[in-house]
Amino acid sequence: MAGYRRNKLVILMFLAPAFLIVTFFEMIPVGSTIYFSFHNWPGIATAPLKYVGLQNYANIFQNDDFLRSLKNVLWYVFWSVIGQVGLGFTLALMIYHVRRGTRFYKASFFLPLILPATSIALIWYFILFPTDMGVVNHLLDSLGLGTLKRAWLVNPNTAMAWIIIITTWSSIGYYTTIGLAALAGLPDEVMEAAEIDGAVGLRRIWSVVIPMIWESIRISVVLVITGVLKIFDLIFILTDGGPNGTTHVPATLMYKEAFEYNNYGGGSAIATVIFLLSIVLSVLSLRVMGSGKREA
Amino acid sequence: MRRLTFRMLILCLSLVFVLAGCGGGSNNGSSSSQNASAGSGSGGSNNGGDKKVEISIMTRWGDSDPLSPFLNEVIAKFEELHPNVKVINDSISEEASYNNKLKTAIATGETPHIFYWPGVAGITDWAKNGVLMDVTPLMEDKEWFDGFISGAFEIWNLEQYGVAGHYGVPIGFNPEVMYYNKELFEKAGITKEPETIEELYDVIDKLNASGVVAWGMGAKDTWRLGHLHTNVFYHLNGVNAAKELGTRTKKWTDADVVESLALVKAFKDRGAFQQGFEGIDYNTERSDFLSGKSAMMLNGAWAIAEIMASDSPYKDQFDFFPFPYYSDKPEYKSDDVLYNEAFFLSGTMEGEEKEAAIAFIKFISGKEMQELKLQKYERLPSRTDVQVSESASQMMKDMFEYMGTIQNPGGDVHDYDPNPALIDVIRNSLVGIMLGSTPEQAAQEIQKSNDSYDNSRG
Repeated sequence: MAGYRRNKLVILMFLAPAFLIVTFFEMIPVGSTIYFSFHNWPGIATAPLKYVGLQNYANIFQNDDFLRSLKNVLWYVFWSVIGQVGLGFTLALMIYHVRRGTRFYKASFFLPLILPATSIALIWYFILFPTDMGVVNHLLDSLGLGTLKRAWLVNPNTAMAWIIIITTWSSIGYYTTIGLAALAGLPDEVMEAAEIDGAVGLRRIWSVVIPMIWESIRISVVLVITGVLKIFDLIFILTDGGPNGTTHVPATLMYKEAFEYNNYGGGSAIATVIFLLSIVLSVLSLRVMGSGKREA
Repeated sequence: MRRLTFRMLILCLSLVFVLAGCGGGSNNGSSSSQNASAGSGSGGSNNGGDKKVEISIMTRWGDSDPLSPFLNEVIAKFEELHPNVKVINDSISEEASYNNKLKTAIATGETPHIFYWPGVAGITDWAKNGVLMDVTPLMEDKEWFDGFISGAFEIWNLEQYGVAGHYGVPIGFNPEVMYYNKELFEKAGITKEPETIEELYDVIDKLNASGVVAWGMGAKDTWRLGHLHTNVFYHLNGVNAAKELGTRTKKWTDADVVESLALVKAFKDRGAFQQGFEGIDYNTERSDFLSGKSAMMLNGAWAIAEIMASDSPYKDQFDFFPFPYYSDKPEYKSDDVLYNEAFFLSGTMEGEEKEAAIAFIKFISGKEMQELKLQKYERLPSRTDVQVSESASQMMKDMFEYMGTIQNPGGDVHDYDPNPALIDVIRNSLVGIMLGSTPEQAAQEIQKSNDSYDNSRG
């Protein structure tokens, strides 16, 4: 056994499949995207690539739609971290302490996760339907709050907020599940010791439970950040970036530039910015949460 | 800490790659499907064993599209007449999937032998780079060519965009008209179809007073407002003004163009559309019209087949009138919307494939198949040498007759512009106007997009 471990050929053989997959299906496409971002190309096989340096980056950063999409996605990330991780772990704590119906709650919160984005979009389209047929508007009408009725997904003041709410609704179960798994791993003796020491209720959650599941929270935050930055389908189906571009995020703009406007260089530049943003936000969040790491 | 950070970096990398794949995924799929079909594009197609020549066709007449059976029937008849040719049908009805698949095929040099694409100026780059075949030599086949609607091929004459030649073979035309519900009109005391916009305003007022939605509008699908604007624009400024915008001899910020945007908003201000129309989609708009909730619907000739196939209780009550003109602009009375459909041929075909593809495109656009399309599938042809069947619906007979009266037809305003982003910018700006932007702001946004495109092209 030990002999195999020292045999470099065997090591290479085991590493090769994963290395090739990562290289061909991840590293090379990412590298190609960065390479394309320095060129103009109209999407025609016979048309040559034209090197333009940083021009594509200059163009996107002078584009109001792109700047607005950046602002949108930063808010999207912020509220999604609060909503998905904050609420998700809170729900996990509540379910953890519930004695009856635990399976029902777990299944209920997890259910939206198994729905495809198209189904989610369709469900919410009817919930937010702009006339009285919409659940929200109908409810407001029934409560005598008819003046609050809106065309929620086409109102520039409410559309992005609803995208965030819908995303949170559809993803929260994932973070509840992570939270529950982390809570299930808490050693009984520590919890009992805490109780003997008088740490109960919120005090126990704050001083014992959260520090012990902190790593799960950190990973969840990174997953939310990277997940939200790549969200495309839900927005594409629900609003297509509208009304008038107010719900665009870089991912939807990237698609438009490359696949609708034949601007593959511009689309690649946006993809590269998403990539860099993903790294920066992930590292930043890990640093912030790492420096504030709580000790049990 | 460092290890975790590194792992997270790797995680980011893979997730961002997934993101890159959300656009590219469909490409890969398309590409492989494309490869599976016909060795696709203009590449090899001779199928060794039985020596059949394979040609591929990619249209929007796929899946559940009403013309999907028509295309299948044409292919079957063609293959019967040409036993040495196999036609591979790669059609997809869904717009985004179709666009992705076709663009990926063109980007990878696997252009289908025959394909559909909307628009005119947008194909200029393809023509310049040899993606498209110049069909001018085909026009010398008088027996085939003379039956087309006069000037039909000129729509795809790209000379004004700097490329010599004609690139599209007309496959169908669709006038856009106002469909209306006669019963609801009568209940509202309307006895005459409106001919001018002023009369249309009166009709809207009377319908509103009778308690029905005057005009259904599903502006969540932004093409609905785009089509309305095209109608307003042509009757206000003429079809030629759209071509002037495309060739940059006119600007979107010109007063008459801004006015066209403002006049679209005028319909909302008049109360023409239903509450919350900005968030309602086309399917709801259409079902509201079919169920009698709304009295009018602006739509293309394709809607006739949909109306006739529906179980609407008002099926016999539907009729149409041409989009009204502005009484102070009588010179543009017959500048009507006529959406055009064309098939294109790959510019890199040679030998037997080229001959087979040309034979197929002549067959499907020829008299016999265009007549089949009109008579069996209730879709207007691209030819005048066909007869509408006696058993066709009255609306179809009227539409066929109306199409022949259009003197100055035009497609979408953006069809004549080389800027591919324009379609979205115009339509989103129109939604913006409905939500509070001014027509001037919208015009500036649209012009800015064109300026940016022109600058990027040098």
